Amino acid sequence: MAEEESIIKCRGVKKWFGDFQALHGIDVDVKEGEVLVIIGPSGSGKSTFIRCINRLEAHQEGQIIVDGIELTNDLRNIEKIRSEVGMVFQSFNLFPHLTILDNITLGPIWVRKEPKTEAEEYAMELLTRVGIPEQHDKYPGQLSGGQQQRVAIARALAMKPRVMLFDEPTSALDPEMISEVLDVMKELARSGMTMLVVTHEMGFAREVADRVLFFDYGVVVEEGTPEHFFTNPQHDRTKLFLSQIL
Amino acid sequence: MDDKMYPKSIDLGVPEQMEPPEPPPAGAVLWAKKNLFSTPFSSILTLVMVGGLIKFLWAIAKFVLIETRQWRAPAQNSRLVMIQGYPQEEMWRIWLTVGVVLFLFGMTMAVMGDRRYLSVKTLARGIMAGGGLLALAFVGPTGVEAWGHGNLRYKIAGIGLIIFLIGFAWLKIKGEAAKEETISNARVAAVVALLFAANLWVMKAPVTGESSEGFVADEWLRIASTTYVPWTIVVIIGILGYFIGNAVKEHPRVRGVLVAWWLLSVPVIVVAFIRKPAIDWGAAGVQLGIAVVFAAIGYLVLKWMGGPKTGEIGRLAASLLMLAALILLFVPLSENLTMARYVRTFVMALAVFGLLSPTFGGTDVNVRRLGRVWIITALALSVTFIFVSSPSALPGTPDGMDFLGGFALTITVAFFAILLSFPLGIMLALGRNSTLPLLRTLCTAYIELVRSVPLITWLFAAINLGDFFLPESFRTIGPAVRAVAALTLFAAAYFAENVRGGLQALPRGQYEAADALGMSVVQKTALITMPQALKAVIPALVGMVISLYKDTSLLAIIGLFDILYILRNVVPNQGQFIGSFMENIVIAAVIYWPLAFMMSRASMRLEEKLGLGSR
Repeated sequence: MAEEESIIKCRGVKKWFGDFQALHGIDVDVKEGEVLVIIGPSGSGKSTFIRCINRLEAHQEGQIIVDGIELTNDLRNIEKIRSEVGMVFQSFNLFPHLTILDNITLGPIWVRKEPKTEAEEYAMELLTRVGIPEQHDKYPGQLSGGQQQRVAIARALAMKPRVMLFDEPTSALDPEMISEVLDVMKELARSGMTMLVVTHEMGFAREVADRVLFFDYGVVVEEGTPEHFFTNPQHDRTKLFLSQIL
Repeated sequence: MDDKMYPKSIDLGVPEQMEPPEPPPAGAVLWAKKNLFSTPFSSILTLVMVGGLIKFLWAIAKFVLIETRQWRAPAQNSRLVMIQGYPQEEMWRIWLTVGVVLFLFGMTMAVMGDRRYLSVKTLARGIMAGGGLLALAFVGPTGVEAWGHGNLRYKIAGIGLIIFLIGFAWLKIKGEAAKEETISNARVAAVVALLFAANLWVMKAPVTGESSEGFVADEWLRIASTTYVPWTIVVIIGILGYFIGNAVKEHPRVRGVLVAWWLLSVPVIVVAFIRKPAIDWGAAGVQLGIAVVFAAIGYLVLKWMGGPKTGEIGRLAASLLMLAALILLFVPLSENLTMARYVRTFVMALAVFGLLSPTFGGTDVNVRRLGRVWIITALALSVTFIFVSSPSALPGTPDGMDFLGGFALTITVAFFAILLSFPLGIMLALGRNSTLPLLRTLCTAYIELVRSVPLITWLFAAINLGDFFLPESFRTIGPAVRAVAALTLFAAAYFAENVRGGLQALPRGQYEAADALGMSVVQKTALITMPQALKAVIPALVGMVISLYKDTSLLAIIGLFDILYILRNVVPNQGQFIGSFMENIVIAAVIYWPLAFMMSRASMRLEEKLGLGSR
């Protein structure tokens, strides 16, 4: 693939927690508009990896370049990248003291310095897109888990990001609410958003992913199209993992 | 939820809703059996408590009504207790203050809406109980002879009987409707206040004459012979406030405005009004002129610093300005100390605004808003400075807050200490959580040092040690201001620990979500973490506020004429009321109680209200 098309470039990313090495040199390129699904057993470093991309975790060795900006300790670079990379968490992390609308407009108004009315209009547009415009004046605590996660997606989208990171977005949800969140994510993928998704939803991976990465023990064990991955996995560890969860 | 997963047409076999079963029969005997005598142990407990309660009330009645009790000591000294020796000819300032406070109180009742209601039944029963107890106490088997002479005893008993009958008649007229019909608390309060005012016009009490037999009624006078007109006026103003509050309560900004008025009321009233500053208008004009220049220049500077195109240079310039402001603190600017302080304050304030400008500015609209806030701040700062730096024109009152005494001093000291310690406490909490090691260590050391020494020691330190540590020009500061400083510095340490607890209780995800949006540290603190942390610790904070209010009674020990000092040391030494300690202490408790109780109730309502957004 051509270098200039990649919006995220990772070269030999290594990360330690104390003495424990979580990432053993990750090399991944993500093209604009690509949907990359990352799977793997728990503790395999997949969440750590995507949290390094917006510097919620600092990597100690290697290079991460997002949209031409290298992630270093320079605070301005970090803030710049964070405002271009949206993140959706497993536990939603909505701000419980703010209404749904304020949750979504907070970033645009204070970080992107958009006028309030404009930010609110766009927020309503996004809420319509995720299917819950009528909930805009409620508080997060009054919403179901699935609705909260959809608000969290809208909140991330409100920053008009070029890349969206999803860290196990459906793992904390009741089974009947998973599909409403996945539907929103599928729609987002179809609209051409660049997405990195850590998930255990194999159905989603098979349907939406352009490429699937299998992580184990902090290395990329196998990567390929969903086709290849689910029908013809090469590596033993991948086969074992798939046999356990499918 | 409205986004049901199933279409309505499908019959899901949902069971039909049925009526709940009949509630079990009710009745006083059944209730008592269930709640008071359910087990042998609870029966014993109930009997012991009821017995103790009766004994206690009996003791109270005896204490209150016994012949030798000198209730006239606090009653006749009520002005001394409230405002100490405030000059008679300036008394209108006090009355206006009371009027303003009652007006705000009335408005608050309407707007914040104590929308709690009492049923007519409860109220009528209360009236009956009150009247009945009064009647019984004065003619009943207690054998207590209050003001032991003449028919007064039977007169009071008669009034009690009339009150009892009014309550009884009300209950009978309403009949069954008494249970459903309700009256708002505010209306009850208004009626009680009006009755109080009317009482001042009508009620007369005997004045004791000089006689070897003690109590001899010489002549009958109104209890409040000089204050019934102003009291009536201020009570009416308070009720007016309620009606005005009712008229405007739908307006979306009215709550915010009201809170701002309350916060401003005490400082404005005390500094600009009760203190009666003698303003030198020539100097004030010059100072205002300087303020206008600062406001204008500051507006332009901020517009540039926080402008959308300035970027990092603005941040750098603001930092340099802050450095300049800090250096300026140690440069002798002019012979005129007041003016030097004035200029330093303005440069420092502008530097703080400059540092905040990239965070709260960034677009033309935001920068202009920040500029407007700066102009208002500059002018307010100037006016405050002019008032505070002018000496008081009251006879015989030096600088500081020594023109205040009694309950007015208690309230003012408590108010300023609470208001100032709050932001200081937040800053200390943030400092203790900071990543800068020096700042963190200093804040931790301060908090631990302050908390490990008793408050009374700090108060004495402020009075006796202050001079050694303060620059020479500050040594004229009076004891009341020093007490405020000591209380503030003391309470800030406790506030800081409470706030820090709130910050620690926040889940890590909140910080991460704010980080993921690209928020700066200031934005994260001001918009995400601090509001949630404060909300989480409201009960602890209100507890602190209440105990700070009560801790002002220590002023009596460091020799300030607060309410407790006057009631314990001044009144019992008056020739007429020698040794009237007991009744004065009780009255002190009675005066302290309502404000503390209201604060605790207000915090409960605040918690209920904020509970909506929790979790």
